[in-house]
Amino acid sequence: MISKKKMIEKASEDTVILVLEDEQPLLDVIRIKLEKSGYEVITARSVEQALDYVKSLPHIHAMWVDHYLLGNEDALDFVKQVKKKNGKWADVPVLVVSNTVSDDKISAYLSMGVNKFYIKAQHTLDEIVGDLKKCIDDPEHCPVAQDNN
Amino acid sequence: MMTRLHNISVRSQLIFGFGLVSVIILLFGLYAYFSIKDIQKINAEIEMHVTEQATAAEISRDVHESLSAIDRFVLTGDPQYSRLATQTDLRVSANTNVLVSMMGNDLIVQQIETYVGLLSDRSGLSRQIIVAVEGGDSDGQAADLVARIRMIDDQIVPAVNRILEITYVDIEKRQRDIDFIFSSSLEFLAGIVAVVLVLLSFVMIALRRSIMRPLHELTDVADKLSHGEFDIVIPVYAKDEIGLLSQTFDVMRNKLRESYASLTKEVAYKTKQTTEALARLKDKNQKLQDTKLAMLNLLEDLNEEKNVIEGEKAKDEAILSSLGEGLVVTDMQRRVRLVNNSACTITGYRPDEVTGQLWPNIMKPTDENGIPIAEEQFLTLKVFKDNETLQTRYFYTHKGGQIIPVSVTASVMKIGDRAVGGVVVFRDIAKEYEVDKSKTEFVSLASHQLRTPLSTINWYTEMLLSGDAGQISEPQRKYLNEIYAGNHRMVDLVNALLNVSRIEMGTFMVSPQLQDISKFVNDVVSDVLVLAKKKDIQLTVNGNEKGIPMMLDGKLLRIVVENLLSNAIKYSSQGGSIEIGVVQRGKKEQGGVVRITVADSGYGIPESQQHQIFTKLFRADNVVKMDTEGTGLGLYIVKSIVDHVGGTVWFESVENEGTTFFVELPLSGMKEKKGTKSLT
Repeated sequence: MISKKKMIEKASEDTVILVLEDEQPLLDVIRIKLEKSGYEVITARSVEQALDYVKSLPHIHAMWVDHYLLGNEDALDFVKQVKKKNGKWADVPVLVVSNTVSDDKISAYLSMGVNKFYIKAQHTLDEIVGDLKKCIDDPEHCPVAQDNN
Repeated sequence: MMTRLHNISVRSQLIFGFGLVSVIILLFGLYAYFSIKDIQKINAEIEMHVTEQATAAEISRDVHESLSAIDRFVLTGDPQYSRLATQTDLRVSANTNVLVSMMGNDLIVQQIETYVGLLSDRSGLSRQIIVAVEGGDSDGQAADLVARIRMIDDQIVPAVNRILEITYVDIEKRQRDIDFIFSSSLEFLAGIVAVVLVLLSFVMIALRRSIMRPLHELTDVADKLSHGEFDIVIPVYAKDEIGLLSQTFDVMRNKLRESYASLTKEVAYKTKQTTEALARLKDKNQKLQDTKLAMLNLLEDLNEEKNVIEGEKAKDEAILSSLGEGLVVTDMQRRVRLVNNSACTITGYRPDEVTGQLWPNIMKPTDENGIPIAEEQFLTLKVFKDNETLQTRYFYTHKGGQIIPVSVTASVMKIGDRAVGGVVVFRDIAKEYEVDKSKTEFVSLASHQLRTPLSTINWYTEMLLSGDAGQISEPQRKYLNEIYAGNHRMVDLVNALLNVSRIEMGTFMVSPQLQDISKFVNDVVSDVLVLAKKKDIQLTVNGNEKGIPMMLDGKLLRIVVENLLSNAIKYSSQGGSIEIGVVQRGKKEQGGVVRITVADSGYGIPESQQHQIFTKLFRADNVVKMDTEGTGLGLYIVKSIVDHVGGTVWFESVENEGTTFFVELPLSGMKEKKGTKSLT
């Protein structure tokens, strides 16, 4: 495990992506994939943990968020905080990658300004990382959520 | 004379006859008048005589009285008697004067004159006596004087008697005159009566001969005429009224004969007409009888029908009241006309509390927190607008305040084409709602729980395959690919199962948005290009270049088109071809549709199994042998969705030649439907 402090130090130099995922194996594979793609990855398994990073990190370039998390809060609570009007991170691209299919939740995410909602099992890591790359390098082509479902 | 009489009119004859009788009666009247006058005169004379007699008798009596008074005076010297004598004397002389004036007869006058002289002597003597007595009658002169009076009286009485006698004789004579007048009058009257009778009988005879007989004859004639005998001889009479009458009869006879002839003709004609009319009437009557019979039969039928209907009605009522669902019938203003028992049980209201009330006011649809939903979402309102049966779920508030989840179906009640009211059927789905809720939770949990390990397998396999964990050998790559593909099928299967479970709950939502269906199908096609390429299958799209914008739920339509396309690819052999078409048929206003066709040149569906193709978990024999990947759920989902959004789906297929699937959606688009979940 890399210590928090070390993570933050590293993050100050590179392109930072915050990954929020409760399932450890998935968190690992995501992190590995992103690191292999050249990103600095900050991982968290609970909202509390994530909000802690959000407060302390100087910059975050994108967020990868799963709905169900450890603890009592889910990612909706987190996104609500992050996407607060005029907040520090309001303009950071957020991709929600979850297996949850509840429509009202999907709608809630999209209405809060999340860029895209992925059903985890139906997308490859390549696809999602590709989209993320677009959002960071070429914001013009970052998916923009359309709440048409 | 008779002949002459015949020429005189009957009227004149009658006037003459009655005139004669009248003159005779007048004459008799005159005679009677004069006779009565005579009798009156005679009577007056008789009366006078009677008076004379009475006066004479009075005189006679007074003389006698006067004498006796004098006598007594002389004897008594009482002046009472002298006064009496004087009074009596005065009366005698007055009566005498009366008598004298009455008696006109010479003979009697002579006697009366004598009589008067005597009387005046007598009163002179009386006065002398009175004087003498008053003077004391010293010389007895009074007695002497009385003797003289007595002498005079002896002469007077006979004279008076004589007068009486004469008058008696005269009276008798007068009475005889009267008798004569009476008897002669009677005779005269008898004569007249006889004459009148003779005259009358004469007139009667004459009338009989001149009037009655002809009248009788004419009566006979008239009688015969009345029986239609027009050829009788009408007797001719003189030129009086009867003659005229007989002539008139003749004229009348001729006229009658004519009119009778024409009448006979007329009657014959009329009779004929009447007979015909009667025949027609009979005919009509027959027809009416037939109609009546038919009506009776009809009535009987109607009665039976009525009984049947009443039975049906009773059955309907029984059904309504035993229905587990709440049922409310409203009029076009949505006022409650009828509620059944279940409706009351569910809502807590009694029928009399709701009947006549506005249903949406009593049962205000709300969301699960009791917040009223927008009125345009009220089913009872929408149903009248859309004019079709609609179904939804929302919440009612029980009379006691509890919020009840209900499944509501509303439809328009029509008689012929005319809407007359609405029917709302609802049931308490509290249990279902709970089940539904937990099922939703289960589905969402299952989807998460099943997919999470699948995702793990997915991504790690992906990492291995991409060489992120070091180079892998060719056999390793091959095996990993199998794992990867198998895992994908697993993901698909989980998705399909989740969709089926939602479809079977019947609650999946339809959220249409305006989009171009042609472009939409193109997009789905490009998503499967990779798949097609793998089997070297040619995909051709004949879209509508202008585009067909309509209301579509993209998610649902994607599932439909994706399924059809992936089936077409899956069940086509290497190097086959698939044609996809999107065409508009008809205009939106006239119920036009969009037809999507997916035609492959694949294995086809065996004819014997074509009817099962949309059944859940069914897979045709021919493809089961070649391919184990299919879930048997795809076409079931396709059909469920297409039905749910108001479209139709069907296919044509020949084994080993290919299959064409057709999906038609109304141009008016998909209708929005509320549900608890969407499909994936």
